[in-house]
Amino acid sequence: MSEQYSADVVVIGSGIVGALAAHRLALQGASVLILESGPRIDRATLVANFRNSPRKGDFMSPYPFSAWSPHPVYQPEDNDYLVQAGPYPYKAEYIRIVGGTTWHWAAQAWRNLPNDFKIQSQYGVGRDWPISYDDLEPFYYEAEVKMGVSGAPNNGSPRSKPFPMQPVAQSYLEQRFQERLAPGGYQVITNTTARNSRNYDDRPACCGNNNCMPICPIDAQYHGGLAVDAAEKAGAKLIINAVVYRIEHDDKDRIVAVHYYDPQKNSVRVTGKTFILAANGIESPKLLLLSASDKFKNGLANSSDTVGRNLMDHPSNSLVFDAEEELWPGRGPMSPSSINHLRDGAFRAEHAPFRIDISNSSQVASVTQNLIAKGIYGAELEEKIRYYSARQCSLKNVLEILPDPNNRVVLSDKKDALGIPRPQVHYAMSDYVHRGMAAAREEYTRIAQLMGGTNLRYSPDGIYGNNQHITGTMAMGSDPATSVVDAFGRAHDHPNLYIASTGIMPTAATVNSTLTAVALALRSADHIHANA
Amino acid sequence: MNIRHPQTSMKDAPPDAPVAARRLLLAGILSGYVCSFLPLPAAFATAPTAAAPKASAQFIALSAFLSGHVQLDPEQADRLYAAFLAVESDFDAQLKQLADFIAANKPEASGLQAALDDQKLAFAKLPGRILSAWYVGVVGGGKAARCVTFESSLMYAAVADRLKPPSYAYGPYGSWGRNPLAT
Repeated sequence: MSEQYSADVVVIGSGIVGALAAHRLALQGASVLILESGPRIDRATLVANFRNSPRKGDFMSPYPFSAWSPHPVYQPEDNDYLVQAGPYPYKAEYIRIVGGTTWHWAAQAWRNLPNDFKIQSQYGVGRDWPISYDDLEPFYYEAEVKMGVSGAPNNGSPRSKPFPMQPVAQSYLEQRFQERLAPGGYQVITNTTARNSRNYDDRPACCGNNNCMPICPIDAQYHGGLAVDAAEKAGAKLIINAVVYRIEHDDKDRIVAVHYYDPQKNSVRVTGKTFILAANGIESPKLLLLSASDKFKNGLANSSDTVGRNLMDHPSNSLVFDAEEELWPGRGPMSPSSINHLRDGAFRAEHAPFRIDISNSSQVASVTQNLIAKGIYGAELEEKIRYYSARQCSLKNVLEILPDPNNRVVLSDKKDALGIPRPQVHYAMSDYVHRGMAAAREEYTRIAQLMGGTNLRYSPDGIYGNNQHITGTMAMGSDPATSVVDAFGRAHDHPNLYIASTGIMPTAATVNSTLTAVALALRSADHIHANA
Repeated sequence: MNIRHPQTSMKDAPPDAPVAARRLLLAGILSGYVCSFLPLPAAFATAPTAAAPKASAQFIALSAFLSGHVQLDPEQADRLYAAFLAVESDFDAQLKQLADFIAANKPEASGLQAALDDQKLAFAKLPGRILSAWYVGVVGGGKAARCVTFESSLMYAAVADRLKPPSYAYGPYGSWGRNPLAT
C-alpha cells in the first residue's frame, strides 16, 4: 500500500486528551495529523437524538456507532462489543466518534490531591506515580484555561493561580444541602467543572438545562468535539473513519508508521516523526497488543507485560431517599456539588477513599415510571409525581479502586466487522473496595438523616455502578520493568511513541480522570516540543 | 407546553414514522450486531407520510379514566394510539377487554391494578402501558420502544410550574438558583 499521509506528529484518537495535545503542538508549529476511527456528528443532531430517544436515561442512546468503529452498547440489549471475562462485569461506556467520550460527561474537571500521587509511600497501598503534584500543577492550570474550569477553591488541590472563572451558581438543592449538612460536619462544595459560569471561549454561560449527560445542548460545557475544533483551527488535520489497526516499528524500535482501515477496509499507511496514542484506556492497549511483531511478540510497549493490566475505574454505590422538604432536583447542572473530606486520610491504608456526589438530576422520569409500575393511577398519580419529584434525592460516591494486574484488557478471539479482535476485560472487586463502600453507606445514612430523609433505598451490597473513568492500563512509572510509559508519557520501549490517556494514570484517585489525563498529555506535548 | 425540537419536531412526525425509520436504518446496516441500535431518530424527519389512524373513542375514554384527566390533547391521543397499533397488533381487542372489565367491575382508577392482578388477566399490564405512553411518552419496550412525545408528556406537564424538561433552559445564567417554591 502506498504511503498517503505523513506528519511531524500523528495522533491516534480524537478525544479530549489527544485533541488538546494536538492543539498545543499545532500551535507550536508542528504538522499534526489526527486519526479518528469514527465519524463526526454535530451537536444539534445529538440533541435531537436525545429528545427523540425512548431511553432518556441511557446516556449512550443518542450516540450511534458505526459498523467499522463499534463501541460498547448495553441497551436495549448488549451488542457484545466488549467481551466480559468476569468475575465482575466491567461495562465500560465510551464513544468512538470525533471528540470521544466527553460528549457525555458531567464536566467534572478535578485535580488529584497531592497525596494521590504517592499512596504507596504514604499508606502502603497501590503504587506511587513517577511525578508529584507539583510537577503537574502548571499543566493542570493550562488544562483548566483551555477547558474553562471553575470550582470551589477549597477542594483540597493547591493552586498557583485562580480558576479562570467563578464557581458555577448554586442550584436551590445545593444550597439546601449545604445549609442542612453543615451542622453535621459536612462541608458541601461546588464541584470543579468545565462548565462556563460566564461567556468564555466563544461559548455561552450555562443556562441550567439539566442535560449535561448525555449532551449539553448549548456547549456551555467543554467537550472533546470542541478540542478537535480548536486543534483544526490551529492547523491540525483530522481524518475521520480511519480505524488504526497496526503500529509499525523499525529495527531501532522507533515507530515509523501506523496503518488504518477506511470503512471499506482499504488500508492506508501514515508515517510520522512522533506518534501519540490517545484512543482511550481500552482501545489503546488493544492497539498495542494488536501490533505485536517478531521482535515484540507480546505487543508494542509491552516488555513489562503490563499493557492492558491494572485496569481501574471508579465503582459507586448509592442511596436514594426522600428529603422532608421540596428541593426540586432538575434545576441547573446535574452534578453540582459534593463532599470531599473522605478523599484522603490515614484510613486509606485500610479502606478505599471516596468523594460523595450529590445529584441534581431531574427525578421526574424515574419517579413517574416507578409510580406507574406500582399501579398508582388516576389523580393520585399526578399528586405523587409532584410529591416525589420535589423530594427524591440521590447520593453516590466516586471511590478509588487499587491497581491489580489481574484486572486487565486483552484481545478476545471475537472480531468486529473489520476483522479486528474485540477487547476482552477481566475485572474483580477487592475487599479494600468493599470496606470503602461500607464506610460510604454509613455516611449516606447520616446525610439522609440531616436532610430529614425517609424511604431510604441503598444500592444492593456488592453491586456497584461504574463511572466510565478507564484508568491504569498503560501505567506510567520510573521502572521499565513494571510500567509502560515514563514520567513524560513516552513508551519505555519506543522513543518516539507517547501515550496520552487516562490509561497512563498509575492509580485512579477519587475524582474523574479527565483533567489529570489532559494535564499529563499537555506535559507530554511540552516534552515532545522541547525534544523535537 | 409548546417547546419544539430544533431539528426534528416529533409533533410533526407522522405516526408511522418510526416504522419507516427503522426500515431505512435496517437497510443500511452493515453488520449483524449493529441491529441492537435503535432507529436513528433524525430519520424521523425524512420518513414518508401516510394516513394516520385516529384514536378510537375507547382509547380516549380509557386514557381519561386512567389518567384522571377530563381533557386530553386529541392530536397527542392520535399519535399514541397509532404507535400502539404499530407495536401491538391486538391493541384494539385489549382495549375492549379492559373496557369490559371496568364496566363490569366498576373499580376506581386507584384500585384497578390490584383488581386486574388478582384475576391474573392477560391484559393486566395494559393500563400501565397506556399511562407510560401518556406520561413518559414511550410506547413499546426493548428494541421496539419508540419515543412518541417528550416535552408534552404528561409527567412534564404535571411539574411544569417547577421544572423544565431536561435539555431546556431555565433562563439566563444562574436563574436556576432561586427557590422554586417562590416562583
